Amino acid sequence: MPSVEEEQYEAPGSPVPNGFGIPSPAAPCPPNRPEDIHRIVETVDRYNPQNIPVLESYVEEQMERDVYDRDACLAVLKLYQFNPTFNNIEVVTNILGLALGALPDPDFNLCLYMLNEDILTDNSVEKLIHLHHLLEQAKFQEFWAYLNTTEGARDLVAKYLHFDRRIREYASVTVGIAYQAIEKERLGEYLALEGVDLDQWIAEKGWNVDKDSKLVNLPISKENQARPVIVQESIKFEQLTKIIGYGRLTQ
Amino acid sequence: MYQEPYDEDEVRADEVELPTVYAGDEYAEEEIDYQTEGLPAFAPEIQIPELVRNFILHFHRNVTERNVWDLHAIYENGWNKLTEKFYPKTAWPDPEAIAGLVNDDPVFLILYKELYYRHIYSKMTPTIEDRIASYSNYCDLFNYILNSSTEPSDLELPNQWLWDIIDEFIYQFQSFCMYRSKVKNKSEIEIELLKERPDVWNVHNVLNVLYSLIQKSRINEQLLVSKNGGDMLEAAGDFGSRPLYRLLGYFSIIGLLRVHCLLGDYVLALKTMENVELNKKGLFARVTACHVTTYYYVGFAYMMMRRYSDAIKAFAHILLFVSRTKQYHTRSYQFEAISKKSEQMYALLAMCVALSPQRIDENVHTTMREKYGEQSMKMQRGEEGLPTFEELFNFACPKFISPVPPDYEVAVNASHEPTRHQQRIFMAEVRTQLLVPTIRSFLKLYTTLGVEKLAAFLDLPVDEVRTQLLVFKHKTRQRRYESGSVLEGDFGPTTDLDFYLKQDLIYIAESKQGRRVGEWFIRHINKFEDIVSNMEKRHE
Repeated sequence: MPSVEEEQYEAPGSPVPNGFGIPSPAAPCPPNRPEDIHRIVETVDRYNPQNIPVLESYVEEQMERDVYDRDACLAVLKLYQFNPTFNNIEVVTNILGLALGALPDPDFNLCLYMLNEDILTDNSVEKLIHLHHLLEQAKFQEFWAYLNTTEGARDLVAKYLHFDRRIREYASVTVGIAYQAIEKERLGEYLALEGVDLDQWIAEKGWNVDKDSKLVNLPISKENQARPVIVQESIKFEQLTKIIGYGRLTQ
Repeated sequence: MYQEPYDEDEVRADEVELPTVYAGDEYAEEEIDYQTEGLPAFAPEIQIPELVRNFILHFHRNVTERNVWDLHAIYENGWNKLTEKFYPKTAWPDPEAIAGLVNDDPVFLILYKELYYRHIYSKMTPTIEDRIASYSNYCDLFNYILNSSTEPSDLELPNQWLWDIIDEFIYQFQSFCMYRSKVKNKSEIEIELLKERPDVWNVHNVLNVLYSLIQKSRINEQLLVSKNGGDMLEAAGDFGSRPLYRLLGYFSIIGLLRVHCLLGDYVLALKTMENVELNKKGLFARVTACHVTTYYYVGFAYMMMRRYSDAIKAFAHILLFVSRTKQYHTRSYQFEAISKKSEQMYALLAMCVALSPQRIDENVHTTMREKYGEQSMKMQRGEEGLPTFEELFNFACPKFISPVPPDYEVAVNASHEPTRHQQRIFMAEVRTQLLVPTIRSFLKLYTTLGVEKLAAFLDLPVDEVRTQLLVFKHKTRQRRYESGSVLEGDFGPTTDLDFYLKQDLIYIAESKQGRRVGEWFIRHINKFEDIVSNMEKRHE
């Protein structure tokens, strides 16, 4: 009888003899994800270190084409976690850059949770952690200043062509859930945009600028209004079954 | 409004297969009568007490006869009673010593060894030889189940035992990872052994077992059919139709949820659960320990994904269940484990409620305040509350592990590093929202308030306060589960106190709870009816 460990140890990546190579039907392929990537990420093939190069180049592709595939990125980190010798710090920083662009989702931390402790002290990673920290605290002006003036910071996301745009999207969402109207100048500082560029951004978003062009009105949504609601209790029928039961007994 | 989406199909205590519902004493009297005649002429080298020997013969017969009902009693009562009586601090008889009693039945010996090593892990300190041997035994067990034949095995075991097999398998893996990372305390012989056997408790092998069980049982296909309809027999196949495979497959999903959490991969953890419907009464509810484990790890993963609202629901749901079914657990051999997990979940709940204040079930809230009232207050106090967060996190988090062996040349003990790593990142997150509770307490007092005035209250520069208001909005907006798989969720505000800004003026609105009297009346009507019916009984 072959033991599990022998079989497995020779082929750590594809451990199941009768195959588990078809993605579960409940894992629909996200748009833009190539089929071969889908097959790796959604099956036990994700543990096969031989897939590292394919997944790594897919990370680059995501940066160039401005598509973000969280699960594929985490699959790379998982392979590094299990096979530390394959660790590629450049790919890690690329993934962290993509995760910054995914804010307000907490993907950046989800990546950090899977990284080896030593990687966190890497100089580039430390810079990205600082950038993340500023963004999480909505310190947008400081964020742009750090990104553009600290040596090496800009280079970390240079390959991610739409990085600035992604961060502006995040800033816009954050401002949009808090403000109904905001000074144009302050908005410009948050977005690191001015003049024509700022006007263009505002136009793209369909926001409305006051006549004297000092104030930007943001569309009213569920999240930037506050209405007092009184929540009434609701008793479910099930809660009364016991009482009704007693009624029946006494008859 | 606080809703409880998990609660719709609430599991009623009487439908759950609760451990130890058998009267133990009955068994103790009985056991003396187990066939004493026809014993093989066998002189064991180790003295095996008569009671134990009879027990093993009885045990073996019931395994051979596939008598699940009696195995239940044997597993949950007989074994534990004899452990208390004869082996409270020493190992059960060596498997070799009992082999003769059971005609060297290989399957029985594997099952016996499963219990034998589990007992060593729980009552003694396993040696490296024990760890390796126990691992090999699990390999034998899973090979027997998965690879011994093209036909499914007709072995049947109690659900509780099947859960404990998966649970223990992961526990021993976790324990081994901690053990090997304590290089400083190792002898040379131990280190040699560890280097020689990198396969033992290797993370790939552990995952392989769990994935293989899921695959063989076609449990995901079965869950999909039960969700969307279809031919269950066809989906399940020859193996998956048998309870042994179906349950091991199902428990392996929960097992993967746990392993992925232990490795800090919260997305994959919840993704593993994509076909399990938490809002329906699933198989996980059949075994209480599994039920508790499922919600603990789902809740924990949500918390780490900054989905505090979902985490709160998960913890509140299971804590309510545990408190309602308490009288059953106290008789269970798992009582201690369940109480410990509950304690931890109250701590996690207190943390999540501090981070994202909201209404929770009254009973759960009361218990939480009793246990962690003081800590809850501290956690609302900004910087001052950080040590409390840290303390509760350390108490309530799982013991994280590193999937790779340490450098055996460097004599350090690094078994706590993975937990420190998770804690550090979590605390950095907590630190970014320190002022949220303070701001909330000021906003609560107004319907409109100028940013400058708030800045004066907080003693902060105006610009800083504007930033903090953005942080408030950003942090109180979380993904929340609505429908679909546990990983799905849409962004929405989670706070009962909301505001918006028009330039530098804050407009505030607070959602209030109407008076809730219904639950109070229901509780007291029930109490009254109970008293009346008790009095009537006495009267008769």
